[in-house]
Amino acid sequence: MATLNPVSRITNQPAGILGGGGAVLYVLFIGLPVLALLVRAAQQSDFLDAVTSDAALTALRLSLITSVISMAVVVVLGTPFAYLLARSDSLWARLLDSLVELPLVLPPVVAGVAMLMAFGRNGLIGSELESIGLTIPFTTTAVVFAQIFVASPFFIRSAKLGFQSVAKDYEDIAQTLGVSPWPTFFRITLPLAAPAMFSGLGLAWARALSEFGATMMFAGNLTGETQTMPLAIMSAMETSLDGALALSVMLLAGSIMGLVILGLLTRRRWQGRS
Amino acid sequence: MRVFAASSLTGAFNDIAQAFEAENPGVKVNLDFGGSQRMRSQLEFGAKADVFASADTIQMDALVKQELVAGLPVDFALNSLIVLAMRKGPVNEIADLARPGVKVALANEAVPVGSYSVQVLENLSQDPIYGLGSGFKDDVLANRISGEPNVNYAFQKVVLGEADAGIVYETDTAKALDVGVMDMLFIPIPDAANVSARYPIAVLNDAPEPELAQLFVQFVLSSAGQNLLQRYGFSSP
Repeated sequence: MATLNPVSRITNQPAGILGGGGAVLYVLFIGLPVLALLVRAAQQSDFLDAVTSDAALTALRLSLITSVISMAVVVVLGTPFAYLLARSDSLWARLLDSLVELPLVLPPVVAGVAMLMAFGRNGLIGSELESIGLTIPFTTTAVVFAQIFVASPFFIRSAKLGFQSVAKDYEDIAQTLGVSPWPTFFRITLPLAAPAMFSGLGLAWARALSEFGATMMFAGNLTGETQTMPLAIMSAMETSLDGALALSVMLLAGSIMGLVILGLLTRRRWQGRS
Repeated sequence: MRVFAASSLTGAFNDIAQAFEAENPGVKVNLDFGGSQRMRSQLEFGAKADVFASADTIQMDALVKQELVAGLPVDFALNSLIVLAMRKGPVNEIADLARPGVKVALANEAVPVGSYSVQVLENLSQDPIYGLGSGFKDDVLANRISGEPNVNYAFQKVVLGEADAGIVYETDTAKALDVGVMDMLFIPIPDAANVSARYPIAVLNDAPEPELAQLFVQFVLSSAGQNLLQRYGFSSP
């Protein structure tokens, strides 16, 4: 009787038909544009020239540098914050928790306008910042600000879930065994939460690299200073489709590579755990 | 040094910057192109640049009023509008722009070329001499498929075939020939209904490189600069 499993038969039929149909449609819907991008890019003769052009490399370098800085800030500040959110159930912590989710639902362009209203020349604290010699809007700093704003929730949320999955008992046991709180955190809690943190970091990084709306509003589109890859694609679209295609393929390749690395990293970690 | 310039100046200013760099060894000109209105708002919100070249006086005057411009802006080029269409498409003359179902690419009205376009449509509707009817402007606007953020986008929409026709600058014809677009049709707009777009240029008040900025403006106004602009179809004011 073990081979005849009535439950899975019943549920598998709709899953097979509807799910199969849905899967085909979905693969076409996502796959076709990606394929079209690759086909069109392959058709152009000067693809390599466009990929290695000054403008493309400048934008790529800026994207990499700014996203690395953003992620460093997000990890250093976000990790203790996420730990606090995971361990505290006070009203304040719950309010903070909702605030962390806000950038996820807020359109990035609104985030850009909001940051301009805060840090811009005529912004809430912008003139004070300027008087001490700090200009943020339309500088590389603004790019980093925009990336942190939109990408940090992905890391903090994931890290929080990671910390929550580490039972408080482990920490208590470690401490009853005489391990003091700091080593407990670094040697028990952090390693156990690491897989969730890595996957959160991967998502946050992807989000930072693809950031467009807030950057456009708050940082502008200055070559070499604030023009990241997505903005360079937008600008290239104005003058040459070829340039835009080349840059798009570069970002696509980066995304796929990121997915693969993320998959390998998290899988190994989780497997090691079980 | 950094120069903010209207999108329609893309080709001409790339050449001018190159010539300027050749004349002043060691100087690197960073050019940023965009809709004049966007460049203006970026400057208002604290973007740092040395020179601003606008496609209309409205954006420049706004900066002058806020005392962001050093000295007075100088007009350095003139431009007018033209209808760009697909050669085998449904638009062969200006009247076709109003035909139902035709897809027209226009820039947003906040952008100089967008407001010029509406002005031209208005002129064409008002004067019975063109025989287009007083509803012409509204019919064309109803056919508008987008409000592009600058002229290059309106141009590209037609080149990519996403729009049947668009209203762009006369200087875009040179650009179209330059990139080897063969299937394009340029439909002139009658002079009396056309606009004369004046391009002002100015050094900005908190320019990081004020001397270089002044030199650059002088170069644009010099015969060398004017020749390069004329090569792209601009005329001298």
